[in-house]
Amino acid sequence: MKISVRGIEFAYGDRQALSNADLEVEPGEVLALLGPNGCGKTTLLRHIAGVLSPSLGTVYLDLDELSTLGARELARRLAVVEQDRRAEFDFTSQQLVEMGRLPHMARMARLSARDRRAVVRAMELTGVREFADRPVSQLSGGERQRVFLAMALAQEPDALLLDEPTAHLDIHHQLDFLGLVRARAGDGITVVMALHDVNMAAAFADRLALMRDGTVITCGSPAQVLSPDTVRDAFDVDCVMGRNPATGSVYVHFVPSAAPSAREGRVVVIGGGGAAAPLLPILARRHHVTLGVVAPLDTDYEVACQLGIPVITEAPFAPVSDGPLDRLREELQRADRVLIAPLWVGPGNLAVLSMVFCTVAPKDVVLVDSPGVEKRDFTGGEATRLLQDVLQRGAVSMTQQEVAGR
Amino acid sequence: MRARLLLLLLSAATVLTLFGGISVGPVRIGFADAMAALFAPQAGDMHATIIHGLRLPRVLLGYLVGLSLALSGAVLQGVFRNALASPYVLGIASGASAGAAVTIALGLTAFIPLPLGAFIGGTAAVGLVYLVARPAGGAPDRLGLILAGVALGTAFAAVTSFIMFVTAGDRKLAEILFWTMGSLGRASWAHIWTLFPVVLISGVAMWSMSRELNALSLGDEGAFSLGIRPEKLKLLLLLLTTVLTATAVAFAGTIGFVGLITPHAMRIVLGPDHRRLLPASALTGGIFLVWADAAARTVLRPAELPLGILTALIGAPFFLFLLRRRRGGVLQ
Repeated sequence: MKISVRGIEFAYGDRQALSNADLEVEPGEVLALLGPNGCGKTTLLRHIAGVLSPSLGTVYLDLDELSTLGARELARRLAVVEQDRRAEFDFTSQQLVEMGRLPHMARMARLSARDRRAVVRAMELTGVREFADRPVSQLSGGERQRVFLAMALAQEPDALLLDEPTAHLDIHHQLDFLGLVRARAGDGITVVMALHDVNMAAAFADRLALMRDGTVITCGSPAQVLSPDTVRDAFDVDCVMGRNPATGSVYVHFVPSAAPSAREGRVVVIGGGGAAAPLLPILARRHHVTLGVVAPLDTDYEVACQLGIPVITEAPFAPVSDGPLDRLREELQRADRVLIAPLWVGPGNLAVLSMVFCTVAPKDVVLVDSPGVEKRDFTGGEATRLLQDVLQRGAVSMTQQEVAGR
Repeated sequence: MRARLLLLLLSAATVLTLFGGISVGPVRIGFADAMAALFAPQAGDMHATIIHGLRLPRVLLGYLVGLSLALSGAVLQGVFRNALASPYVLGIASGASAGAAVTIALGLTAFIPLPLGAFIGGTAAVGLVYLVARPAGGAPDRLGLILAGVALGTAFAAVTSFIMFVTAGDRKLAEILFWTMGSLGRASWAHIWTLFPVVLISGVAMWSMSRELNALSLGDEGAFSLGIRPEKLKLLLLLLTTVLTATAVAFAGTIGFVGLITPHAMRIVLGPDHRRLLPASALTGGIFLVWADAAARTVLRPAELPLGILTALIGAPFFLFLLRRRRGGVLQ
């Protein structure tokens, strides 16, 4: 079922909750609503569920205006799972799942064979048959949410609306629950879910809709929607984009933000081969950082780009040429400090080290994890000699932990 | 399976109770004699007069009143999603008492029957509570209803107290007092024929909504997502329970605790499914009240203990027992 939200306005009293909210969800698609608390995710879901009626705008289910559908008809098309749904009395799991058939049953009718099949199937899909006869109050949070999902599936809906369904679950049950939902979308059920966890959303949703101040600000695939700019825009939080190495899905690394005024001093980091990667986020929070000279395929290069750090680049596997070296010299002359990451030194980047030691006073040079340099030396000992020389002339040696602590 | 067995047992117990109830009373009539007087009455037989004119209507009224209170209690506990709600939660008892007191004090009994005065008082109280609790342009929430019920209930009780105060020393005071303590002593066939259709119609109507009542335990939005209009359903159920309770109270006065404890105890035995809970509560409530009345008629023989006192004496300790075995807080 296709869900279209067109230009919805809604206010709780005089607090505007939704303003001109638009959303299109395609059949069989999983769409996650993201945004800070109070941005209107839940209110938007409640409009799609028909619980609230907009003061302006329309919600369509396929071609039907939602406001023209009766409660029973709505319940056959849409099922809802909320974060904290509870049954007041001690119903068993089986009894709750059977309630899901209510919109299909005539008053006082018994469960038909078809109803029973739907109940069994819903319980099997969610793995709750083993505690069919247990009171829901005796189940764990994760099991209970699966029972409510089973109840929703027993409705045989065209769409599932989930409001923070995993909010109070541990990580195992979060993955478990969202995996179940994801699999139902494979059967053609449209899923709209409000989630807090950006990375869960990126991992399980086809598309994300980012909300702020009661409206959808961007909508698209996780890779399209999530960027340091959009995340800062919606959540007011700094982040670094990455990927989950196991699944390849977009992964957002949040960065504890420092006030901009705290950034002081210019630091040039000499990196390469991933040696500078762990240092860059720490330094970028406190200083104006430039990374020198690395190849565009280098891990250090990627990290620097994710952090928005300017990089002096050179083609991979090539000796550093004059252009980049000139730029490096300019940066070094302006820099207050130079950090030399524990990089592998070969003939290619020996010239970079020489440039540093000619341009900068030894006391402003920091060697990170300098012991063991011999093992990283592929210049026949020349690099080791250079580094030991500069240490003797007053350069500082620090471990990574010390850098982080400063 | 267990539920069916229990309902079957309760039905059998109902038959035993009705027969047993009529063989108990201030005049000692043996079970065999009572049966003989019931099924083969001889003209001029005093036993037959007692059985047909006094005991049978009294036992039947007791059964119907107990049934009505327990059924209303079970439904209202579902509506308020609170296992400690009673049929009197919306002020029906104090309203009916005030209605009865006004009718007696003003000497209106010549124009309107006392039960009608009580019925009007009870239904008016609930109507007022509903209107007061109702926010502008919406349906009242359950907490608002309960609080309004408490507040207005107190006000109605004050009215009754005031009337009792000004009628002090009068024969009317004893009459009001007796009414407020609850009794089946005035039972007549006219009462049975009024209450029976009300019980039948509202009982069937409530039972037919038991699946919806089950869904209501998920909260309003939960019920809505299953295709139910919770406001409409709750209003309908409130209307039904109000008419049923007010009719029962009109004939028997305010008898406490049956409507609170019976459904609560049945829920512990059978679970919360209203399809079983409603009939089981109804049957148990009826049975309980007939035996409670039998006890009330005999413990102080030849005097009669007001029934409301007895149910409260049995009910309060049981209620406290239920309260203590709840795992969570009282006001969940």
